[in-house]
Amino acid sequence: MNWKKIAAVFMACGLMTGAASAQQPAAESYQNMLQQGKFQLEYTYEGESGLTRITTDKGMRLVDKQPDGKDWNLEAFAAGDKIYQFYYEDKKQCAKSLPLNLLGSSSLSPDERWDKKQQALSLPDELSVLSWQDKWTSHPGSLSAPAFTGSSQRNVDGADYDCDQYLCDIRNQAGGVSGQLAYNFLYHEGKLMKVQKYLLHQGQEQLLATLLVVKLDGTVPEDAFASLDNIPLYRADLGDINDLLDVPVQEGTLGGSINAH
Amino acid sequence: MRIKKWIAAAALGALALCLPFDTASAGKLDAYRNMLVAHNYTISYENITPPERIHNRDVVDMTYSFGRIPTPQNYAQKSYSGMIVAQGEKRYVEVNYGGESRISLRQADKTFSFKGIAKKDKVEYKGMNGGKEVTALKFHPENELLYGESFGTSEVSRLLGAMLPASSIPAGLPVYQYVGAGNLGNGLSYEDYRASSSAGLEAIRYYFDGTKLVRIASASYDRDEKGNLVGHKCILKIKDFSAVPDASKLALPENLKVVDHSQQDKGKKKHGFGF
Repeated sequence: MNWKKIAAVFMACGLMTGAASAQQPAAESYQNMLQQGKFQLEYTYEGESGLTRITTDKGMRLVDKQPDGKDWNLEAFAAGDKIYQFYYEDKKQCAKSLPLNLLGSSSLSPDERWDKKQQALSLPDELSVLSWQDKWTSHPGSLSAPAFTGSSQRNVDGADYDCDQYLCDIRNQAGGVSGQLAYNFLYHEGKLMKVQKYLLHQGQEQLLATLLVVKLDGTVPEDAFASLDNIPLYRADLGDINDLLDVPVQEGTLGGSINAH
Repeated sequence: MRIKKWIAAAALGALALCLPFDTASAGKLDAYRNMLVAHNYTISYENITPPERIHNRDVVDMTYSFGRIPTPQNYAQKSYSGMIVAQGEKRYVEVNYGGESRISLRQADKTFSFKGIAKKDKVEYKGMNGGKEVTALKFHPENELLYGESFGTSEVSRLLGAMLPASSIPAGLPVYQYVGAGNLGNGLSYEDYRASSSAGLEAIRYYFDGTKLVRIASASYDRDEKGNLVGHKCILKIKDFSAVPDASKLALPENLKVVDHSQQDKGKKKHGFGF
């Protein structure tokens, strides 16, 4: 019989669980935080200026950006079954909303770029490794779910880190693997500092990006959604007569009722 | 006797059914497929079916995809022509809307985007901001592996990309399968490919004059958000498809000045992978 095969499978399982348990203790708490939907994240990339902040709590997600180190600009917001984007009209902050089931509809105005706003709500690619099923994050069909491959000690730019590595396969239609994305999660004293993303392809490795985690914790400040205050809210442009006449339909104001949650 | 005839007919029928599948590997399209795989070719085409109007403001390309060249506002419903030249790691992709063209040039690990503007009998090249500066950006090989190769617009990328072997197409994209071939007389013949899934259906017919690829036509159906079937068609007239790369296109036009942003992340120290 195939006892050898069965034994081999059991051994492989044992190896895998053994390896999985070697993940940094902090990794699990970060995973829980991201998956349970209550966190505030601030990040940037090496070689880039400006910060992006993602605040998620009570089923809502707010993304804002700080391009210059001073002001936070609203980028996108999602709550309930709607997605929101922001713009200025006569120097006044305004918002537009779209029901989620209309995302991807052919009647949306291309000027409003709802696809971009949907993407803006997603976790940075590197962190989505810890929360692969994130509601707002999508992955190309060619990319397989990440697998933890091992831990090590690493010195990066003169500092010592504990490193967890995850691998995602890039698959092709023939069923083969045409390359791999590797993510090195760098922890310092149990705190996630950086994530390096590499492409492994044709026997070569190439550093694609380094995510710098400025802040990531599971407490959301009381006033995290306070910037959504009394903003006139209009309906998304759906190519109907109101759009032809250039008279957007006001739906109410964004702020009061949402902050009251 | 009669039974023998029936067996013979059945055998012949079975053979006829199998034949198209056999020729799949020895079809006329294979020569062109091999050129694409070898990254060594010049393709020149004309899309004679401009995309249909779907919104009173549909002045930009609705479909967002990595590496594709978006259609400029003024040209959303116009037919266009284009050119793709590849030689190893060099690649020139042009989409021409008559008076103006959008060009993307890759040279090893750098990419440049610029415009070509037709002036009488010559073309003047300008940066995307209208000046003489063109920005060098880092080439991201992962996008091609994740989302598929770009041949210009989304439509052209789909129709030419469908020719690639399965090992060069990322999983998750439509799977095009050979369904048959035939003769149309006057030396014309065709090969048919089809992809279908719950999301929709597309049939592509590659037309040949002798062994020369002269036209690619596709009909596709998908469902809109209300569940209605929506049909699209696209016809590409192939003006040139040869294994001789047009080297003149693979160099940056002389009048353009390069601003290099591709080195930005070179300062990062590289670290080994293995554990």
